[in-house]
Amino acid sequence: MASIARNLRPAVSRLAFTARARTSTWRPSPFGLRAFSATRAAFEKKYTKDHEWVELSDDKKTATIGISEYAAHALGDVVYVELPELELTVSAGDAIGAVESVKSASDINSPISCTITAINSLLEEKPSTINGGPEDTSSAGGWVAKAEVAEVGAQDLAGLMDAERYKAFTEEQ
Amino acid sequence: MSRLPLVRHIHFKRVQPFTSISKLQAHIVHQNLLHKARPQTYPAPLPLILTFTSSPVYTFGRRDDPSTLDAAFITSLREPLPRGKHAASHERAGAEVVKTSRGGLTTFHGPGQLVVYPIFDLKGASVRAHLKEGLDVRSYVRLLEETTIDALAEPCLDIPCVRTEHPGVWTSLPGQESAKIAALGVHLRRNITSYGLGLNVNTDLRWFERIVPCGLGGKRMTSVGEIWRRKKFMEGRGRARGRVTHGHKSFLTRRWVEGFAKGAFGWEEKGEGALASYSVCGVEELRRGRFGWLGLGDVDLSADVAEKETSETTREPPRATEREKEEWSTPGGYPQSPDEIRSLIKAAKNFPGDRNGFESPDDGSAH
Repeated sequence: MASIARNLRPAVSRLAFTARARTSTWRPSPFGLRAFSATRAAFEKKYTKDHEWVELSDDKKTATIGISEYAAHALGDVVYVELPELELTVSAGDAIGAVESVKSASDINSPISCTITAINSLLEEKPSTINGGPEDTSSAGGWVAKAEVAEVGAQDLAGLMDAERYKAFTEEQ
Repeated sequence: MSRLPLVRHIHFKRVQPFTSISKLQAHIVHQNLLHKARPQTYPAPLPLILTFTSSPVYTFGRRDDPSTLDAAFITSLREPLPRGKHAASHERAGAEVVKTSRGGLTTFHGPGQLVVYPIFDLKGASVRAHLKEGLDVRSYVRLLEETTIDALAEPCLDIPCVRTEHPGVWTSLPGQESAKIAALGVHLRRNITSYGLGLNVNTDLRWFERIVPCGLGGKRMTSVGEIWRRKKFMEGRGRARGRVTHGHKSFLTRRWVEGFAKGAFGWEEKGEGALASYSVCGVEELRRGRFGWLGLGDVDLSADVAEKETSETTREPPRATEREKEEWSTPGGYPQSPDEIRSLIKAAKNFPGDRNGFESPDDGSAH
């Protein structure tokens, strides 16, 4: 048995290696075209310790805000989302709304200082959208609000976690 | 050196204005938030459980907005319950209407209901010492419900309850529909809890008839007192269970807090001083030295006075005095000597249909 295993092992590992090589070229890049010259940071979300995320646009003038997959999963079925008022100006950490599940209203805090310019009215009609895609920034997604960001907001980003650090943080929880 | 307790509990012995406790709660949440934002500057507050009985109040949750509701409906909520003519002055007061930031819809808090507000960080050190990953929303709500179920299952209370897909604690008697005995509504700000649970011990359930409690049409509210009365009726036994007394309510409070301390913080019965319970008469007592850890200072905890408060609700009922004057009038005014009083009492006993102001049981009009 052992000798067979010894003969098999190199074959298995060769197969695995080639399989891996094949799939790696097929897997679509998470950032669209693999253009190394594009700034990745623009499309990456940053996370707070309270499980909100913010995604800044290229020009760092507008941002999208929402709650993370981890938070949506912990909440269970969301029955109500309280959205912020338009033109509301907030500092980092200020409450901009709430998410309700199991008779508990959990505040949503803004990750950065900004002024709300748009809210996701889909969440008013169908609160469960936030469970389906809390980090989805498309028009059918569960993002909470879009906002205008000034200098001070862009600086707030420095205190937030990137995806990897956030993942490690949630694993500690 | 004495150790700090695991968890603190403040029990209010007297009926409290709801808005006073809300303000106290907001202050404690703020203390917790300060520590969370700047742990080096602000010490970690210990978990705190507030238990109290509120003055009559209808509270709305996050989703409701009393300003969008019909003004006539709000006015009808403020009306006092219909009472007998000999109701004490505090029972003639109406209800306040208050909007809160908790989850859930409309509910009522008032005399006879035990309201429990645990205030602590779900992911804080106190919880993590017992539950490694802390609590999350759903497990916290589950803990609130299970603590209530366990407390009500105590032999001297003997009320079997269950959890359902609707948050809250439900009970029923054979042949009866299920009814909610405890309503639940929580607010979480950075995982700091506030608000909590309202457990009907001997609440006057007529208050609930004006609203759709917790937005569940077709479901009713019940109380420990009502369950006991029904059991007595169904079992046909004499005074099998008796009335719900203050002692029962105190016992229930203590059992609830102990059960919660056990579930959330790993409190054990033998733990020396681990559960520090304080019993106070009102919020102002919390400014005293031994409550220094609350850091109340000059924080305003005054009750918000409703506009509809007139002096009539606090005065003694005038009619009885006039009645006394009519029936017992003597040339000199009120009776001055024991003999006069004795003869007047004798005369009153012979007065048809009216014995010391109460309806005579003989003419069948007694309730």
